Amino acid sequence: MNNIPKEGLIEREIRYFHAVNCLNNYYYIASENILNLGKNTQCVFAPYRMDQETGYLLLVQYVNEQQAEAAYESFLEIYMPEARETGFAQMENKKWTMAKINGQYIMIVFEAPDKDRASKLLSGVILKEE
Amino acid sequence: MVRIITRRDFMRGTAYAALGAAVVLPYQFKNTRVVLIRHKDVWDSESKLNSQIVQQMLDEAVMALLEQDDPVKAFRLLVKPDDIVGIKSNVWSFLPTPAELENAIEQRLLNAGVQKKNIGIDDQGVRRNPIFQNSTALINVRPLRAHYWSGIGGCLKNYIMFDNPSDYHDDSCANLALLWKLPAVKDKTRLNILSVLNPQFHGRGPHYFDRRYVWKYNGIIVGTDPGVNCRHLRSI
Repeated sequence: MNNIPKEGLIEREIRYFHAVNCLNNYYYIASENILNLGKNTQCVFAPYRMDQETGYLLLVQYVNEQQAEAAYESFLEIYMPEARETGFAQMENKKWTMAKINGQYIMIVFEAPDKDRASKLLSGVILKEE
Repeated sequence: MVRIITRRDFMRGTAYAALGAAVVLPYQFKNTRVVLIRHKDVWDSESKLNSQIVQQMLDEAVMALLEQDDPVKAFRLLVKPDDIVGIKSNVWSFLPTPAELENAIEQRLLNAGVQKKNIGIDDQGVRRNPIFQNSTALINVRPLRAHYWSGIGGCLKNYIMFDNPSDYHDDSCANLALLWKLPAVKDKTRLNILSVLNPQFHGRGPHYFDRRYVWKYNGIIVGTDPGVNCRHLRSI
C-alpha cells in the first residue's frame, strides 16, 4: 500500500495476488502467462480515477532482477512490440499502456487517458529492493 | 506454437480469428441477457423463505429473460413436453439451493407439460441418476458463495459433480469450463439460475461456512450463459 501513489487511488478495489488467473479475473491481459506470474511473484493491481475514467496500475515484485527482466521482455514482445524501445504505446481503444522495469519490479499502467497521466502514475511508485 | 490471444486482439476484433475455425461466427457478437430480480419480503421475520414470492421472482425473471408475458409460455420456450429434465441443484449443507426455488422450477416445468416422472432434482448423485443419464435438458441452479480456490462458486462450477471434482481444482479451478463439454452436459442447459437470496461473501477453506459472512441480498439471477451469470455474481 505504501509503495503506490495515493492520488486518485480507489482503495477499496485494490487487489493483492500471486497468480495470473487472478490478474486475468480482474483485468484480462492474455491467454498465456506472459508476465510469468506465479506463487513467488507479489502483485498489486490498483484502479485509479483519471477524470471520468479508470486507469489501472499493476505492480509486480519478482524474486530477482533476472526474472523481472525476462517477464518485462516477454510482456513487451507479446503485448506491445511497438513499445520495445519506449515502454509505452497507445492501444486500439485510444488509451495508453506504459510499462517500466526497475530492479526486481515491473510496473505497468493500463487504460490511461494520456501518456502524461501514465508516466506520472509510474513515477509515483516507490520501490524497495529486497 | 500456441497463438497467444491478448486483450488487444479483442480491441481489434481479431480474437475470434485467432481462435480459429472452431468458433461459431454467428454467435460472436451476440449479446447475452442476464436478469437480476430482488424482493425485499422474500425472507419472513423468522428468516424463512416465502415460497410464493420465490415463485413470483422466478416467474418474473424468466419472463423478462425471454420477453414473454406469461411464465408458462416462457418455460415452454425452454423445454418441450417430451423432454427429460434434470434440475442440477446444490446440497451443500450450510447453504444449499433452497427447496422453495427447486419447487418453483419444478412447478413451471410441470406447467410447461413435462411429465413428473421425467423431472429429477439431484446434485451429488447426478452420474448415477437415470433422469440425468438420459436427460435431454438441464436446469442449473445453485446459491452463490465465495470459494477458496475458484474465487466464487457459481453456475459454471455447479456441474463439477458430473465428473471427478478433484480433477478440476488445480490452478485455481482454471479448467472448470471444460465441465460444460462433458457428454452428459454439453448443449443441454436451458437455464442457469443463481440464488443470491443469502450469499456468502468470504471463506477461508474449501468448505468454509460462517454466518457472519452471509447476508440477505434477496435476489436471484437468471440467464442462459453460465459464465455471464458468474461474472455478475463476482460483482455482487
